[in-house]
Amino acid sequence: MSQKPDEHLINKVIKGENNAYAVLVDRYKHMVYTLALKIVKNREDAEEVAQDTFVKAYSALNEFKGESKFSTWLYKIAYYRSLDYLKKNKRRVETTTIDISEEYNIASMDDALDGMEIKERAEIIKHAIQELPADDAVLITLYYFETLSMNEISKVMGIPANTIKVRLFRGRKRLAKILENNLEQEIIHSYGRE
Amino acid sequence: MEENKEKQLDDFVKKIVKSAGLETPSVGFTQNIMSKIVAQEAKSAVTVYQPLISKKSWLILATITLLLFAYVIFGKLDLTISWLPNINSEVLNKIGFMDALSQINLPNTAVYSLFGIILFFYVQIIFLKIHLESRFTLN
Repeated sequence: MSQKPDEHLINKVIKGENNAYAVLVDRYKHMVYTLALKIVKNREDAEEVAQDTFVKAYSALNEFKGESKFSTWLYKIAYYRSLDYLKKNKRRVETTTIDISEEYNIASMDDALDGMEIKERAEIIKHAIQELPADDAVLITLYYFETLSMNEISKVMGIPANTIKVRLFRGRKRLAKILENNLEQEIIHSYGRE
Repeated sequence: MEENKEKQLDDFVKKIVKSAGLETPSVGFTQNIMSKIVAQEAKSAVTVYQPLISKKSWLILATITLLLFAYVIFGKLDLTISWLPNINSEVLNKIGFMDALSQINLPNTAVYSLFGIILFFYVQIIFLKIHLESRFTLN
């Protein structure tokens, strides 16, 4: 996804071509929805927040100055909308409080995952990310999937880049531990089935 | 050794996050947004802000006021009102309201603290404004 077509589409939308916005929505809906889901942890709510994000972005499109990428700007709106949603509904999201530990075996996890079917593997990984605290899950998704730089993530989440580095460091350890726990359970489960 | 382990974990997380992919919203997602936008635009066209007093009437009002003032100041207008008794200016001086105010003595500390509180109140307004405005903009 190069930068230029985005700008082209944005200009079209500002000129009044609504259909151009649908292309932008299609381009970013997966990422925006995923980010919302990482924070509100519920599919229906995430759908609502994601739609809200795009509607809000549409009416604020004139304020988008093109100093940063459109995607970064959009993710920032999504991030804050999700947090606002939680605040408004006074919901506290339950997350596992897993201590950061060094006791995990990457090689064995890798083997276990390789032995699974693609769909099952994706489910297990998604589930593990979902169990992370919201900020960690957002960070990991933005950094590893969307490959945003620390500076861009810092703009999206409003935290200094140094803090992001430290959080990322802890977050991936947490993720590894959650994944290992889940995989162990999965393996015990599948033995039981046989 | 430790660095190596970090690198290994970094690569591993990158690999699994990429392979998990993104979540997919419902099928009608884009359609829903577009209809919401259309609805929103229709609504905002109805509720377009119109000032109660238009610019034109403000202009007329301003001209009338200015003309009146000009007449009072430059015109040879007799402003004495015959039925109003003359107010003796000495009576006003006797009330001494302003003199009473100057009698109030506050300790210095109280003055400083009042001044400080007022100052911080205004500083707070500026910070709150910046904070609220920066929520949806990128620097």
